[in-house]
Amino acid sequence: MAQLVEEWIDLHADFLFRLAYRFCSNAADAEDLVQEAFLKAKENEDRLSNGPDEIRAWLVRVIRNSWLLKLRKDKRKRDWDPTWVDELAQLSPIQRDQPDFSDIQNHLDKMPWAFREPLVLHYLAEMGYREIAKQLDIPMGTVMSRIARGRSWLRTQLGINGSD
Amino acid sequence: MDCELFKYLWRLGRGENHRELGESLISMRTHEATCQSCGAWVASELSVDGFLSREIARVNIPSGMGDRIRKRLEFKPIIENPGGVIPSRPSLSKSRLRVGILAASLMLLVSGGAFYALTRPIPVTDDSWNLFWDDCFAWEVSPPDRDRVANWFSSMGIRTELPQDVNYQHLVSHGIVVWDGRQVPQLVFANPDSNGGRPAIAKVLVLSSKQFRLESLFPLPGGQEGSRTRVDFLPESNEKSLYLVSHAGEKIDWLIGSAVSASSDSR
Ligand SMILES: [Zn+2]
Repeated sequence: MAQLVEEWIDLHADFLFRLAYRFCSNAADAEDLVQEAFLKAKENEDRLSNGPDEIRAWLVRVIRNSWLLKLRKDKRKRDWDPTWVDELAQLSPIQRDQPDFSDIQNHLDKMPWAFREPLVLHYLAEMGYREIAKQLDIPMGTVMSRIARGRSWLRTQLGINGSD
Repeated sequence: MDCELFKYLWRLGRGENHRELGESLISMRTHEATCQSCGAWVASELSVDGFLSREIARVNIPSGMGDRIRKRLEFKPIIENPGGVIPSRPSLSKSRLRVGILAASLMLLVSGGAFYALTRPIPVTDDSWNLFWDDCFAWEVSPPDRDRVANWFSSMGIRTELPQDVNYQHLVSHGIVVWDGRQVPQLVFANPDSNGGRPAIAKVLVLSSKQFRLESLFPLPGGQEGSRTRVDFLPESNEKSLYLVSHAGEKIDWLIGSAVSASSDSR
C-alpha cells in the first residue's frame, strides 16, 4: 500500500472515528464511514499532496458527505423526532442531582442535525467558525448562533452549572 | 458596553473568532479587563468549553480498526460491467408496448401523485425548525428591532418595507397573515403601561401596492357598534406601503411619536 495513505491512517483514523461516531452514534456505521473515507483517499492519493491539515479537512468533508448521503437514503432519520419536543418542554433550567456525563451521545442524538453538526465540528474537530461556515455552506452568523444555542442546550441537559 | 451585551457577543464569538466581531472586539476587551463579574464569567465559560471538548472527544476507539482499514484498502475496487458486454437492445414492438404502458402509468402517477403531493402531511424540515428557533433565541437575548424583524421576513421570502417610526421596543410578535389570498406581514405591539391598567394592543398590517390597490381601502371603516376597536393608518404610510393599525384606544402615542387618527380624517 502506498506510503501516504499509511501515514494518514496513523494520523487521522482515530479522530475520524470519533467524529463519525458523534455523527451517527453507532460504532459499526462510524467505522464503515472511516474505512470508506480512506478508500476514497487512496483513490485520490495523487491529487492529495497537501499538508496534514488539508488532508484532515478533506477527510472530514468526505465523512460528512457520506453520512449525509446515508441519512438521505434512510429518510426516517431526517424526519421530525418527537422526543425532541419533550426535551424542549424541559428547556427551563432544571437541576439534576448528579451531572450525567456518560450519556453525552444521547443528548447529541436528540439535537437537531443542524445544531449537532456545527457543534461537533467546533468542539471535536476544533474547527473555527469561518471554516465551519465554509464546510457547511451556511453564513457564519448562523454557525455562531447554532453553536451558541446547541451549547447552552447541552449545558442545561448535562446540568453544568454556570454563572449566567 | 454593558454586561448583557458583552456576554451576548462573547457567546457568539467565543475563542479565536472574536476577531469576527470587528470593532466590538476592542470594547469587549476593555469590558472584560475592567468588569470583575464578566472576567469571572469568561473564565467559567472557558472551563465549560474545555469540558465539552473533552467529553465530545471521549469516544472509545474499537481495537484493531487500523488493521481493518488497511485490509479493506488492499481489495481491488469492484469494476462495473466487468465483461464490457452491452445489453442487447429490446425489439421495436416490445419497446412500443413499453412506451405505451409507461405513458399510461405516468399519467396515473402524475394525477394521483400531484393530489397526494399537495395534500399529504409533510415532515417538519430542519429549515423551518431553525428559523423558528433562531427567532425565539433572538428575542431571548435582546429586545426586538426593525432590522431583525425585516431579516426575519426576508428569510421567509417576504419582501416588505417595515415602518420606521414605530416603537419596536413594544413589539411582542410578528408574523404573516393572509389577506385576500396574499401573504401580509403583521406586527403586534403591546404597551403594558397604558392608562387603563390593561395592556394596550396595536396590530399593524403592512400592505404593499404590489399586492393591493391601496386606494381601494379608503375610506377606512369606522368602529363597530359596541367595540372600541378602531382602524387607522400610520402617518408614514406612502403610496407604496400602507401601514394599517387596529387598536382599542383613543391614542397610540406609545406606538409612534405623534399618532394621527386616520379614520376620522378619512371620513
Ligand atoms: Zn460586565
